[in-house]
Amino acid sequence: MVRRRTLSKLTPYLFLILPLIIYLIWVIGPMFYTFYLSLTDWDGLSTPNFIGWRNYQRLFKDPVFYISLKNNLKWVLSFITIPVVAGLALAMALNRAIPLEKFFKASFYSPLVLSLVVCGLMWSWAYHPAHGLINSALRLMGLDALAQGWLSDKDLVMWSIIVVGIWRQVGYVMVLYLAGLQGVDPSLVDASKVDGCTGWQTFRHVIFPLLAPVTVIVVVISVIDSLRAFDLVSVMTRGGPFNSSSVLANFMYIEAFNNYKMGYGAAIAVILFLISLVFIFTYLWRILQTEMEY
Amino acid sequence: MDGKQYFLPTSWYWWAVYYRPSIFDQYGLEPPKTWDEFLQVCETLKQNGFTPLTIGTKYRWTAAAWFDYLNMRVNGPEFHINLMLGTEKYDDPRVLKVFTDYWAPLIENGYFLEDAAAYSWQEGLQFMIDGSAAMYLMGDFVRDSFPDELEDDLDFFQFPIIDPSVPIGEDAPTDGYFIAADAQHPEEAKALLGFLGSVEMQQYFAEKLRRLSTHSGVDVSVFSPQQQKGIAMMQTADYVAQFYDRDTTPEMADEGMNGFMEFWDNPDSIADILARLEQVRQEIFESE
Repeated sequence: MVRRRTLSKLTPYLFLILPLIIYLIWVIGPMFYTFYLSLTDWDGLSTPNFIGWRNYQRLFKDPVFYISLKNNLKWVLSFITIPVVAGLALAMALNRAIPLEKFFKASFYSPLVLSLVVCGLMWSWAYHPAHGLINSALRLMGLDALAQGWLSDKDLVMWSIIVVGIWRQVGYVMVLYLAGLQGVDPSLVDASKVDGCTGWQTFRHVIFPLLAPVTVIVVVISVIDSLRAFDLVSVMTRGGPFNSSSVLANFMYIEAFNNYKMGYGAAIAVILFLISLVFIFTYLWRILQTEMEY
Repeated sequence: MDGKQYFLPTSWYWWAVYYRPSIFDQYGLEPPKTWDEFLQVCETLKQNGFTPLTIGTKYRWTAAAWFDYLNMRVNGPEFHINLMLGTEKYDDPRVLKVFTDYWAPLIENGYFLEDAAAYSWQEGLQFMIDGSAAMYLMGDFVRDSFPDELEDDLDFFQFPIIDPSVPIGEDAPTDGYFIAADAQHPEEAKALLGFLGSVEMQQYFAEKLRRLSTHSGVDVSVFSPQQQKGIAMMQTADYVAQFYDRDTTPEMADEGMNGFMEFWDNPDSIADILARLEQVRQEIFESE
Protein backbone atom coordinates (compact mmCIF):
# COMPACT_ATOMS: atom_id res chain seq x y z
CA MET A 1 0.00 0.00 0.00
CA VAL A 2 2.72 2.45 0.99
CA ARG A 3 4.71 1.66 -2.16
CA ARG A 4 1.77 2.56 -4.35
CA ARG A 5 1.27 5.85 -2.52
CA THR A 6 4.92 6.88 -2.97
CA LEU A 7 4.83 5.82 -6.59
CA SER A 8 1.73 7.88 -7.29
CA LYS A 9 3.37 10.87 -5.58
CA LEU A 10 6.51 10.38 -7.65
CA THR A 11 4.72 9.81 -10.95
CA PRO A 12 4.23 13.49 -11.88
CA TYR A 13 7.94 14.10 -11.37
CA LEU A 14 8.85 11.02 -13.35
CA PHE A 15 6.79 12.35 -16.25
CA LEU A 16 8.48 15.71 -15.91
CA ILE A 17 12.03 14.36 -15.94
CA LEU A 18 12.29 13.89 -19.69
CA PRO A 19 11.04 17.35 -20.72
CA LEU A 20 13.04 18.85 -17.89
CA ILE A 21 16.25 17.28 -19.13
CA ILE A 22 15.58 18.51 -22.66
CA TYR A 23 14.81 21.96 -21.26
CA LEU A 24 18.01 21.99 -19.21
CA ILE A 25 20.18 21.00 -22.15
CA TRP A 26 18.59 23.15 -24.84
CA VAL A 27 17.37 26.21 -22.95
CA ILE A 28 19.01 26.61 -19.52
CA GLY A 29 22.43 25.41 -20.61
CA PRO A 30 22.73 27.82 -23.56
CA MET A 31 21.41 30.56 -21.28
CA PHE A 32 24.38 30.18 -18.93
CA TYR A 33 26.71 29.81 -21.90
CA THR A 34 25.40 33.15 -23.19
CA PHE A 35 26.14 34.76 -19.83
CA TYR A 36 29.69 33.46 -20.11
CA LEU A 37 30.05 34.56 -23.75
CA SER A 38 28.97 38.08 -22.87
CA LEU A 39 32.13 38.34 -20.77
CA THR A 40 34.37 37.37 -23.71
CA ASP A 41 35.36 38.86 -27.04
CA TRP A 42 34.33 35.82 -29.08
CA ASP A 43 33.96 36.52 -32.80
CA GLY A 44 32.30 33.20 -33.60
CA LEU A 45 35.43 31.65 -35.12
CA SER A 46 38.53 31.94 -32.96
CA THR A 47 38.82 31.03 -29.28
CA PRO A 48 37.03 33.36 -26.84
CA ASN A 49 39.13 35.51 -24.52
CA PHE A 50 37.78 36.61 -21.17
CA ILE A 51 37.42 40.42 -21.07
CA GLY A 52 35.18 40.99 -18.07
CA TRP A 53 32.59 43.76 -18.22
CA ARG A 54 34.01 45.47 -21.32
CA ASN A 55 31.10 44.47 -23.55
CA TYR A 56 28.63 45.98 -21.10
CA GLN A 57 30.67 49.17 -20.76
CA ARG A 58 30.66 49.49 -24.53
CA LEU A 59 26.94 48.71 -24.66
CA PHE A 60 25.97 51.47 -22.25
CA LYS A 61 27.92 53.98 -24.35
CA ASP A 62 26.47 52.75 -27.65
CA PRO A 63 23.83 55.14 -29.09
CA VAL A 64 22.21 52.28 -31.03
CA PHE A 65 21.46 50.55 -27.71
CA TYR A 66 19.45 53.55 -26.52
CA ILE A 67 17.69 53.90 -29.88
CA SER A 68 16.73 50.22 -29.66
CA LEU A 69 15.51 50.60 -26.07
CA LYS A 70 13.37 53.57 -27.09
CA ASN A 71 11.93 51.65 -30.02
CA ASN A 72 11.13 48.65 -27.83
CA LEU A 73 9.43 51.04 -25.41
CA LYS A 74 7.35 52.51 -28.26
CA TRP A 75 6.42 48.95 -29.16
CA VAL A 76 5.47 48.04 -25.59
CA LEU A 77 3.32 51.13 -25.05
CA SER A 78 1.56 50.60 -28.39
CA PHE A 79 1.00 46.92 -27.78
CA ILE A 80 -0.47 47.21 -24.29
CA THR A 81 -2.96 49.88 -25.36
CA ILE A 82 -4.24 49.58 -28.92
CA PRO A 83 -4.60 45.82 -29.42
CA VAL A 84 -6.04 45.44 -25.91
CA VAL A 85 -8.72 48.09 -26.45
CA ALA A 86 -9.46 47.02 -30.02
CA GLY A 87 -9.44 43.30 -29.15
CA LEU A 88 -11.76 43.86 -26.23
CA ALA A 89 -14.11 46.01 -28.31
CA LEU A 90 -14.21 43.37 -31.04
CA ALA A 91 -14.80 40.59 -28.50
CA MET A 92 -17.69 42.53 -26.94
CA ALA A 93 -19.14 43.21 -30.39
CA LEU A 94 -18.82 39.62 -31.59
CA ASN A 95 -19.96 37.97 -28.39
CA ARG A 96 -23.54 37.99 -29.52
CA ALA A 97 -25.34 36.12 -32.28
CA ILE A 98 -25.09 38.53 -35.20
CA PRO A 99 -25.12 37.56 -38.89
CA LEU A 100 -21.70 36.53 -40.19
CA GLU A 101 -20.37 36.32 -36.62
CA LYS A 102 -18.12 33.37 -37.44
CA PHE A 103 -16.84 35.04 -40.60
CA PHE A 104 -15.83 38.17 -38.68
CA LYS A 105 -14.14 36.18 -35.95
CA ALA A 106 -12.20 34.15 -38.51
CA SER A 107 -11.21 37.24 -40.49
CA PHE A 108 -9.85 39.11 -37.52
CA TYR A 109 -7.95 36.04 -36.36
CA SER A 110 -6.54 35.16 -39.79
CA PRO A 111 -3.42 37.40 -39.70
CA LEU A 112 -2.13 35.22 -36.88
CA VAL A 113 -2.16 32.24 -39.21
CA LEU A 114 0.42 33.99 -41.35
CA SER A 115 4.03 33.91 -40.26
CA LEU A 116 5.55 37.25 -39.28
CA VAL A 117 7.89 37.05 -42.26
CA VAL A 118 4.93 36.80 -44.62
CA CYS A 119 3.19 39.70 -42.85
CA GLY A 120 6.36 41.77 -43.13
CA LEU A 121 6.69 41.07 -46.84
CA MET A 122 3.04 41.79 -47.59
CA TRP A 123 3.08 45.07 -45.73
CA SER A 124 6.39 46.07 -47.34
CA TRP A 125 4.57 45.86 -50.65
CA ALA A 126 1.63 47.82 -49.27
CA TYR A 127 4.08 50.46 -48.03
CA HIS A 128 5.92 50.68 -51.41
CA PRO A 129 6.09 54.47 -51.93
CA ALA A 130 5.44 54.48 -55.67
CA HIS A 131 3.14 51.55 -56.40
CA GLY A 132 2.05 50.22 -53.01
CA LEU A 133 -1.54 49.78 -51.90
CA ILE A 134 -1.51 52.60 -49.37
CA ASN A 135 0.06 55.38 -51.43
CA SER A 136 -1.84 54.36 -54.57
CA ALA A 137 -5.12 54.51 -52.66
CA LEU A 138 -4.22 57.92 -51.20
CA ARG A 139 -3.34 59.27 -54.65
CA LEU A 140 -6.55 57.87 -56.10
CA MET A 141 -8.49 59.80 -53.48
CA GLY A 142 -6.56 62.96 -54.33
CA LEU A 143 -4.69 62.88 -51.00
CA ASP A 144 -1.25 62.93 -52.63
CA ALA A 145 0.21 65.00 -49.82
CA LEU A 146 -0.42 62.19 -47.36
CA ALA A 147 1.57 59.69 -49.39
CA GLN A 148 4.82 59.06 -47.51
CA GLY A 149 7.92 56.95 -47.60
CA TRP A 150 6.48 54.76 -44.86
CA LEU A 151 9.58 52.65 -44.45
CA SER A 152 12.18 55.16 -45.64
CA ASP A 153 11.26 58.12 -43.43
CA LYS A 154 13.21 57.83 -40.20
CA ASP A 155 10.39 59.35 -38.15
CA LEU A 156 7.65 57.10 -39.55
CA VAL A 157 9.41 53.79 -39.99
CA MET A 158 9.12 52.43 -36.44
CA TRP A 159 5.42 53.25 -36.27
CA SER A 160 4.83 51.75 -39.72
CA ILE A 161 6.29 48.47 -38.48
CA ILE A 162 4.41 48.59 -35.18
CA VAL A 163 1.15 48.99 -37.12
CA VAL A 164 1.79 45.60 -38.71
CA GLY A 165 2.38 44.07 -35.28
CA ILE A 166 -0.83 45.59 -33.97
CA TRP A 167 -2.78 44.44 -37.05
CA ARG A 168 -1.70 40.93 -36.27
CA GLN A 169 -2.09 41.10 -32.49
CA VAL A 170 -5.68 42.37 -32.38
CA GLY A 171 -7.12 39.01 -33.46
CA TYR A 172 -5.15 37.23 -30.77
CA VAL A 173 -6.40 39.53 -28.02
CA MET A 174 -9.94 39.28 -29.37
CA VAL A 175 -9.87 35.48 -29.11
CA LEU A 176 -8.52 35.62 -25.55
CA TYR A 177 -11.25 38.02 -24.51
CA LEU A 178 -13.95 35.99 -26.28
CA ALA A 179 -12.87 33.01 -24.20
CA GLY A 180 -12.84 35.17 -21.08
CA LEU A 181 -16.34 36.44 -21.84
CA GLN A 182 -17.59 32.87 -21.90
CA GLY A 183 -16.55 32.67 -18.27
CA VAL A 184 -18.56 35.73 -17.25
CA ASP A 185 -21.65 34.57 -15.39
CA PRO A 186 -24.66 35.83 -17.37
CA SER A 187 -26.76 36.05 -14.23
CA LEU A 188 -24.46 38.82 -12.97
CA VAL A 189 -25.01 40.77 -16.18
CA ASP A 190 -28.77 40.23 -15.90
CA ALA A 191 -28.71 41.38 -12.28
CA SER A 192 -26.98 44.61 -13.24
CA LYS A 193 -29.57 45.23 -15.94
CA VAL A 194 -32.33 44.71 -13.40
CA ASP A 195 -30.58 47.27 -11.18
CA GLY A 196 -30.97 49.76 -14.03
CA CYS A 197 -27.39 49.95 -15.33
CA THR A 198 -26.73 51.24 -18.81
CA GLY A 199 -24.70 49.11 -21.19
CA TRP A 200 -21.56 51.12 -20.47
CA GLN A 201 -22.05 50.90 -16.69
CA THR A 202 -22.58 47.15 -16.97
CA PHE A 203 -19.38 46.86 -18.91
CA ARG A 204 -17.35 49.07 -16.65
CA HIS A 205 -18.47 47.77 -13.28
CA VAL A 206 -19.38 44.16 -13.97
CA ILE A 207 -17.87 42.72 -17.12
CA PHE A 208 -14.47 44.40 -17.22
CA PRO A 209 -13.55 43.58 -13.58
CA LEU A 210 -14.56 39.97 -14.22
CA LEU A 211 -12.21 39.94 -17.19
CA ALA A 212 -9.27 41.07 -15.04
CA PRO A 213 -7.39 37.71 -15.18
CA VAL A 214 -7.57 37.78 -19.00
CA THR A 215 -6.41 41.39 -19.06
CA VAL A 216 -3.39 40.53 -16.95
CA ILE A 217 -2.42 37.70 -19.30
CA VAL A 218 -2.96 39.86 -22.36
CA VAL A 219 -0.85 42.73 -21.02
CA VAL A 220 2.03 40.52 -19.91
CA ILE A 221 2.09 38.60 -23.19
CA SER A 222 1.94 41.87 -25.12
CA VAL A 223 4.90 43.22 -23.19
CA ILE A 224 6.96 40.09 -23.71
CA ASP A 225 6.10 39.98 -27.43
CA SER A 226 7.13 43.63 -27.77
CA LEU A 227 10.48 42.96 -26.15
CA ARG A 228 11.02 39.96 -28.41
CA ALA A 229 10.08 41.79 -31.64
CA PHE A 230 12.50 40.78 -34.35
CA ASP A 231 10.95 39.21 -37.44
CA LEU A 232 9.05 42.23 -38.70
CA VAL A 233 11.97 44.61 -38.23
CA SER A 234 14.43 42.21 -39.81
CA VAL A 235 12.27 41.56 -42.87
CA MET A 236 10.93 45.04 -43.47
CA THR A 237 13.91 47.29 -42.80
CA ARG A 238 16.74 45.34 -41.16
CA GLY A 239 16.69 48.02 -38.47
CA GLY A 240 17.19 50.82 -40.98
CA PRO A 241 17.29 53.46 -42.21
CA PHE A 242 20.50 53.90 -40.21
CA ASN A 243 19.13 52.21 -37.08
CA SER A 244 15.91 54.26 -36.88
CA SER A 245 13.87 51.08 -36.54
CA SER A 246 16.42 49.11 -34.56
CA VAL A 247 15.04 46.97 -31.73
CA LEU A 248 17.10 45.06 -29.17
CA ALA A 249 16.66 41.63 -30.76
CA ASN A 250 17.56 42.93 -34.23
CA PHE A 251 20.52 44.90 -32.85
CA MET A 252 21.80 41.74 -31.17
CA TYR A 253 21.42 39.75 -34.37
CA ILE A 254 23.38 42.23 -36.49
CA GLU A 255 26.19 42.60 -33.95
CA ALA A 256 26.52 38.84 -33.48
CA PHE A 257 26.05 37.52 -37.01
CA ASN A 258 26.89 40.41 -39.30
CA ASN A 259 29.71 42.06 -37.39
CA TYR A 260 31.14 38.82 -35.94
CA LYS A 261 30.88 40.23 -32.43
CA MET A 262 29.32 37.25 -30.66
CA GLY A 263 30.47 38.41 -27.23
CA TYR A 264 28.88 41.82 -27.69
CA GLY A 265 25.71 40.23 -29.08
CA ALA A 266 25.58 37.98 -26.03
CA ALA A 267 25.76 41.03 -23.77
CA ILE A 268 22.78 42.57 -25.58
CA ALA A 269 20.92 39.27 -25.22
CA VAL A 270 21.63 39.20 -21.48
CA ILE A 271 20.31 42.75 -21.02
CA LEU A 272 17.18 41.87 -23.02
CA PHE A 273 16.76 38.80 -20.84
CA LEU A 274 17.03 40.82 -17.63
CA ILE A 275 14.44 43.34 -18.84
CA SER A 276 12.06 40.52 -19.79
CA LEU A 277 12.70 38.83 -16.45
CA VAL A 278 11.09 41.73 -14.60
CA PHE A 279 7.81 41.20 -16.44
CA ILE A 280 7.98 37.42 -16.40
CA PHE A 281 8.48 37.43 -12.65
CA THR A 282 5.53 39.79 -12.21
CA TYR A 283 3.38 37.46 -14.28
CA LEU A 284 4.50 34.29 -12.52
CA TRP A 285 4.07 35.90 -9.10
CA ARG A 286 0.47 36.85 -9.94
CA ILE A 287 -0.30 33.40 -11.34
CA LEU A 288 1.18 31.68 -8.30
CA GLN A 289 -0.76 34.00 -6.00
CA THR A 290 -4.05 33.17 -7.73
CA GLU A 291 -3.22 29.48 -7.60
CA MET A 292 -2.54 29.66 -3.92
CA GLU A 293 -5.92 31.22 -3.35
CA TYR A 294 -7.51 28.00 -4.44
CA MET B 1 49.48 28.60 -45.44
CA ASP B 2 52.95 29.88 -44.47
CA GLY B 3 51.26 32.73 -42.60
CA LYS B 4 49.51 34.05 -45.71
CA GLN B 5 46.00 33.63 -47.04
CA TYR B 6 45.57 32.40 -50.60
CA PHE B 7 42.58 32.88 -52.86
CA LEU B 8 41.88 31.39 -56.26
CA PRO B 9 39.95 33.97 -58.30
CA THR B 10 37.66 32.52 -60.93
CA SER B 11 35.18 35.13 -62.11
CA TRP B 12 34.55 38.84 -61.86
CA TYR B 13 32.25 41.58 -63.08
CA TRP B 14 32.58 45.33 -63.47
CA TRP B 15 30.54 48.22 -62.18
CA ALA B 16 29.43 51.10 -64.38
CA VAL B 17 26.57 53.51 -64.91
CA TYR B 18 23.90 51.57 -66.79
CA TYR B 19 21.40 53.56 -68.83
CA ARG B 20 18.50 53.36 -71.32
CA PRO B 21 19.86 54.55 -74.69
CA SER B 22 16.30 55.13 -75.96
CA ILE B 23 15.73 57.80 -73.28
CA PHE B 24 19.10 59.41 -74.03
CA ASP B 25 18.32 59.45 -77.77
CA GLN B 26 15.02 61.24 -77.14
CA TYR B 27 16.91 64.29 -75.95
CA GLY B 28 20.07 63.89 -78.00
CA LEU B 29 22.15 62.98 -74.95
CA GLU B 30 25.53 61.27 -75.22
CA PRO B 31 27.03 59.11 -72.44
CA PRO B 32 28.90 61.73 -70.34
CA LYS B 33 32.66 61.45 -69.92
CA THR B 34 33.29 64.31 -67.48
CA TRP B 35 31.53 65.34 -64.31
CA ASP B 36 30.12 68.51 -65.84
CA GLU B 37 28.70 66.55 -68.77
CA PHE B 38 27.19 64.13 -66.28
CA LEU B 39 25.49 66.94 -64.34
CA GLN B 40 24.15 68.32 -67.64
CA VAL B 41 22.66 64.97 -68.54
CA CYS B 42 21.03 64.70 -65.10
CA GLU B 43 19.58 68.20 -65.33
CA THR B 44 18.19 67.64 -68.83
CA LEU B 45 16.54 64.41 -67.76
CA LYS B 46 15.09 66.01 -64.64
CA GLN B 47 13.65 68.93 -66.63
CA ASN B 48 11.89 66.45 -68.88
CA GLY B 49 10.20 64.57 -66.08
CA PHE B 50 12.56 61.59 -65.70
CA THR B 51 14.29 60.36 -62.59
CA PRO B 52 17.92 60.74 -63.68
CA LEU B 53 19.42 58.23 -61.24
CA THR B 54 17.48 55.32 -59.83
CA ILE B 55 18.70 53.41 -56.79
CA GLY B 56 17.36 51.11 -54.09
CA THR B 57 19.20 51.75 -50.82
CA LYS B 58 17.23 49.56 -48.41
CA TYR B 59 20.22 47.25 -48.04
CA ARG B 60 22.67 50.16 -48.18
CA TRP B 61 25.41 48.70 -50.37
CA THR B 62 24.10 50.48 -53.47
CA ALA B 63 24.81 53.76 -51.69
CA ALA B 64 28.30 52.51 -50.79
CA ALA B 65 28.98 52.13 -54.53
CA TRP B 66 28.51 55.89 -54.94
CA PHE B 67 30.99 56.52 -52.14
CA ASP B 68 33.52 54.13 -53.70
CA TYR B 69 33.38 55.79 -57.12
CA LEU B 70 33.22 59.41 -55.95
CA ASN B 71 36.09 58.87 -53.51
CA MET B 72 38.23 57.10 -56.13
CA ARG B 73 37.50 59.73 -58.77
CA VAL B 74 38.13 62.70 -56.46
CA ASN B 75 40.93 61.44 -54.21
CA GLY B 76 42.36 58.54 -56.16
CA PRO B 77 42.23 54.80 -55.53
CA GLU B 78 45.32 54.78 -53.30
CA PHE B 79 43.70 57.11 -50.76
CA HIS B 80 40.44 55.15 -51.03
CA ILE B 81 42.06 51.77 -50.33
CA ASN B 82 44.04 53.20 -47.44
CA LEU B 83 40.79 54.50 -46.00
CA MET B 84 39.34 50.99 -46.36
CA LEU B 85 42.36 49.51 -44.66
CA GLY B 86 42.03 51.96 -41.80
CA THR B 87 45.23 53.93 -42.38
CA GLU B 88 43.47 57.13 -43.48
CA LYS B 89 40.97 59.09 -41.40
CA TYR B 90 37.25 59.48 -42.09
CA ASP B 91 37.28 63.11 -40.94
CA ASP B 92 40.04 63.96 -43.43
CA PRO B 93 38.99 67.05 -45.46
CA ARG B 94 39.44 65.00 -48.62
CA VAL B 95 36.66 62.66 -47.52
CA LEU B 96 34.41 65.59 -46.59
CA LYS B 97 34.94 67.08 -50.06
CA VAL B 98 33.49 63.94 -51.67
CA PHE B 99 30.23 64.47 -49.80
CA THR B 100 29.88 68.26 -49.88
CA ASP B 101 31.11 69.00 -53.40
CA TYR B 102 29.90 65.99 -55.35
CA TRP B 103 27.41 63.74 -53.60
CA ALA B 104 25.29 66.34 -51.78
CA PRO B 105 24.54 68.35 -54.94
CA LEU B 106 23.19 65.20 -56.62
CA ILE B 107 20.86 64.62 -53.69
CA GLU B 108 19.83 68.23 -53.22
CA ASN B 109 19.11 68.74 -56.92
CA GLY B 110 16.71 65.81 -56.75
CA TYR B 111 18.61 63.65 -59.25
CA PHE B 112 18.10 60.47 -57.24
CA LEU B 113 14.91 58.41 -56.97
CA GLU B 114 12.52 59.60 -54.28
CA ASP B 115 12.21 57.41 -51.15
CA ALA B 116 15.16 55.29 -52.35
CA ALA B 117 15.62 53.87 -48.84
CA ALA B 118 12.33 51.98 -49.14
CA TYR B 119 13.49 49.91 -52.10
CA SER B 120 15.77 46.92 -52.54
CA TRP B 121 18.12 47.22 -55.53
CA GLN B 122 15.76 45.17 -57.71
CA GLU B 123 12.81 47.41 -56.80
CA GLY B 124 15.00 50.37 -57.77
CA LEU B 125 15.66 48.69 -61.13
CA GLN B 126 11.91 48.51 -61.73
CA PHE B 127 11.85 52.27 -62.35
CA MET B 128 14.43 51.90 -65.07
CA ILE B 129 12.52 49.01 -66.62
CA ASP B 130 9.24 50.94 -66.73
CA GLY B 131 11.07 53.90 -68.29
CA SER B 132 10.59 56.48 -65.56
CA ALA B 133 14.29 56.46 -64.64
CA ALA B 134 17.29 56.62 -66.95
CA MET B 135 20.50 55.61 -65.14
CA TYR B 136 21.67 53.20 -62.43
CA LEU B 137 25.16 52.81 -60.96
CA MET B 138 25.29 49.02 -60.76
CA GLY B 139 27.30 45.87 -61.38
CA ASP B 140 27.06 43.96 -64.65
CA PHE B 141 24.78 41.39 -62.99
CA VAL B 142 21.99 43.92 -63.53
CA ARG B 143 21.68 42.48 -67.05
CA ASP B 144 20.32 39.23 -65.58
CA SER B 145 17.42 41.11 -63.99
CA PHE B 146 16.60 43.16 -67.05
CA PRO B 147 13.72 41.75 -69.12
CA ASP B 148 14.76 39.95 -72.31
CA GLU B 149 12.58 42.05 -74.59
CA LEU B 150 14.40 45.23 -73.45
CA GLU B 151 17.85 43.67 -73.65
CA ASP B 152 18.92 45.90 -76.53
CA ASP B 153 17.90 49.04 -74.67
CA LEU B 154 20.46 48.64 -71.90
CA ASP B 155 23.98 49.96 -72.20
CA PHE B 156 26.58 51.35 -69.84
CA PHE B 157 29.28 53.98 -69.62
CA GLN B 158 32.29 54.33 -67.34
CA PHE B 159 31.65 56.41 -64.23
CA PRO B 160 32.52 59.97 -65.32
CA ILE B 161 36.03 61.28 -64.75
CA ILE B 162 36.09 64.11 -62.23
CA ASP B 163 39.81 64.91 -62.17
CA PRO B 164 41.81 63.72 -65.19
CA SER B 165 45.05 63.92 -63.21
CA VAL B 166 43.84 61.30 -60.73
CA PRO B 167 44.47 57.57 -61.49
CA ILE B 168 41.37 55.63 -62.48
CA GLY B 169 39.99 53.19 -59.93
CA GLU B 170 37.05 50.89 -60.67
CA ASP B 171 34.99 48.49 -58.58
CA ALA B 172 35.23 44.93 -59.91
CA PRO B 173 34.29 42.40 -57.25
CA THR B 174 35.95 39.06 -57.80
CA ASP B 175 34.58 35.67 -56.84
CA GLY B 176 36.68 32.61 -56.21
CA TYR B 177 37.62 29.83 -53.81
CA PHE B 178 39.40 29.37 -50.50
CA ILE B 179 40.46 26.11 -48.84
CA ALA B 180 39.86 25.91 -45.09
CA ALA B 181 43.10 25.84 -43.12
CA ASP B 182 42.10 22.72 -41.21
CA ALA B 183 40.61 20.90 -44.20
CA GLN B 184 40.69 17.13 -43.83
CA HIS B 185 41.83 16.45 -47.40
CA PRO B 186 44.01 19.40 -48.39
CA GLU B 187 45.71 17.64 -51.29
CA GLU B 188 42.40 16.70 -52.89
CA ALA B 189 41.09 20.24 -52.25
CA LYS B 190 44.12 21.69 -53.98
CA ALA B 191 43.59 19.31 -56.89
CA LEU B 192 39.98 20.46 -57.18
CA LEU B 193 41.00 24.12 -57.18
CA GLY B 194 43.70 23.40 -59.71
CA PHE B 195 41.07 21.85 -61.92
CA LEU B 196 38.60 24.74 -61.44
CA GLY B 197 41.28 27.30 -62.14
CA SER B 198 42.70 25.58 -65.22
CA VAL B 199 42.35 27.30 -68.53
CA GLU B 200 40.15 24.52 -69.92
CA MET B 201 37.59 24.78 -67.09
CA GLN B 202 37.69 28.56 -67.17
CA GLN B 203 37.02 28.48 -70.91
CA TYR B 204 34.13 26.08 -70.30
CA PHE B 205 32.60 28.33 -67.62
CA ALA B 206 33.03 31.34 -69.87
CA GLU B 207 31.18 29.68 -72.73
CA LYS B 208 28.41 28.04 -70.70
CA LEU B 209 27.77 30.63 -67.98
CA ARG B 210 28.92 33.74 -69.82
CA ARG B 211 30.84 34.77 -66.69
CA LEU B 212 34.00 36.77 -67.13
CA SER B 213 37.01 34.68 -66.29
CA THR B 214 40.01 35.85 -64.33
CA HIS B 215 42.29 33.53 -66.30
CA SER B 216 44.20 35.50 -68.90
CA GLY B 217 44.48 32.43 -71.11
CA VAL B 218 40.74 32.33 -71.83
CA ASP B 219 39.70 33.31 -75.34
CA VAL B 220 37.57 36.44 -74.83
CA SER B 221 35.92 36.25 -78.23
CA VAL B 222 33.21 34.04 -76.69
CA PHE B 223 31.88 37.08 -74.83
CA SER B 224 29.24 39.43 -76.19
CA PRO B 225 30.22 42.87 -77.55
CA GLN B 226 28.89 44.47 -74.36
CA GLN B 227 31.11 42.23 -72.27
CA GLN B 228 34.07 43.03 -74.54
CA LYS B 229 33.38 46.69 -73.91
CA GLY B 230 33.41 46.06 -70.17
CA ILE B 231 36.67 44.14 -70.35
CA ALA B 232 38.24 46.94 -72.40
CA MET B 233 37.02 49.51 -69.86
CA MET B 234 38.61 47.58 -67.01
CA GLN B 235 41.87 47.30 -68.87
CA THR B 236 42.17 51.11 -68.89
CA ALA B 237 41.75 51.21 -65.11
CA ASP B 238 44.80 51.87 -62.96
CA TYR B 239 43.41 50.10 -59.94
CA VAL B 240 40.65 47.58 -59.21
CA ALA B 241 38.79 47.66 -55.89
CA GLN B 242 36.62 44.89 -54.48
CA PHE B 243 33.72 47.07 -53.24
CA TYR B 244 33.24 48.99 -50.01
CA ASP B 245 31.90 46.19 -47.84
CA ARG B 246 34.58 43.76 -49.02
CA ASP B 247 37.53 46.15 -48.90
CA THR B 248 36.98 47.14 -45.28
CA THR B 249 36.03 45.09 -42.20
CA PRO B 250 32.36 44.06 -41.74
CA GLU B 251 31.98 46.20 -38.63
CA MET B 252 33.45 49.30 -40.27
CA ALA B 253 31.34 48.67 -43.38
CA ASP B 254 28.19 48.41 -41.28
CA GLU B 255 28.90 51.75 -39.57
CA GLY B 256 30.07 53.37 -42.79
CA MET B 257 26.98 52.34 -44.72
CA ASN B 258 24.71 53.54 -41.93
CA GLY B 259 26.62 56.81 -42.15
CA PHE B 260 25.96 57.05 -45.90
CA MET B 261 22.24 56.46 -45.30
CA GLU B 262 22.15 59.11 -42.60
CA PHE B 263 23.94 61.56 -44.90
CA TRP B 264 21.44 60.75 -47.65
CA ASP B 265 18.59 61.64 -45.32
CA ASN B 266 20.23 64.87 -44.11
CA PRO B 267 23.25 66.01 -46.16
CA ASP B 268 24.01 68.88 -43.75
CA SER B 269 24.86 66.47 -40.94
CA ILE B 270 27.86 64.99 -42.78
CA ALA B 271 30.53 66.60 -40.58
CA ASP B 272 29.07 64.99 -37.46
CA ILE B 273 28.65 61.68 -39.26
CA LEU B 274 32.29 61.65 -40.39
CA ALA B 275 33.47 62.54 -36.89
CA ARG B 276 31.59 59.55 -35.57
CA LEU B 277 32.90 57.25 -38.31
CA GLU B 278 36.44 58.39 -37.50
CA GLN B 279 35.86 57.38 -33.86
CA VAL B 280 34.66 53.96 -34.98
CA ARG B 281 37.63 53.60 -37.31
CA GLN B 282 40.01 54.30 -34.44
CA GLU B 283 38.29 51.77 -32.21
CA ILE B 284 38.40 49.10 -34.87
CA PHE B 285 41.80 49.64 -36.47
CA GLU B 286 43.85 51.27 -33.77
CA SER B 287 42.92 49.47 -30.54
CA GLU B 288 44.95 46.48 -29.27
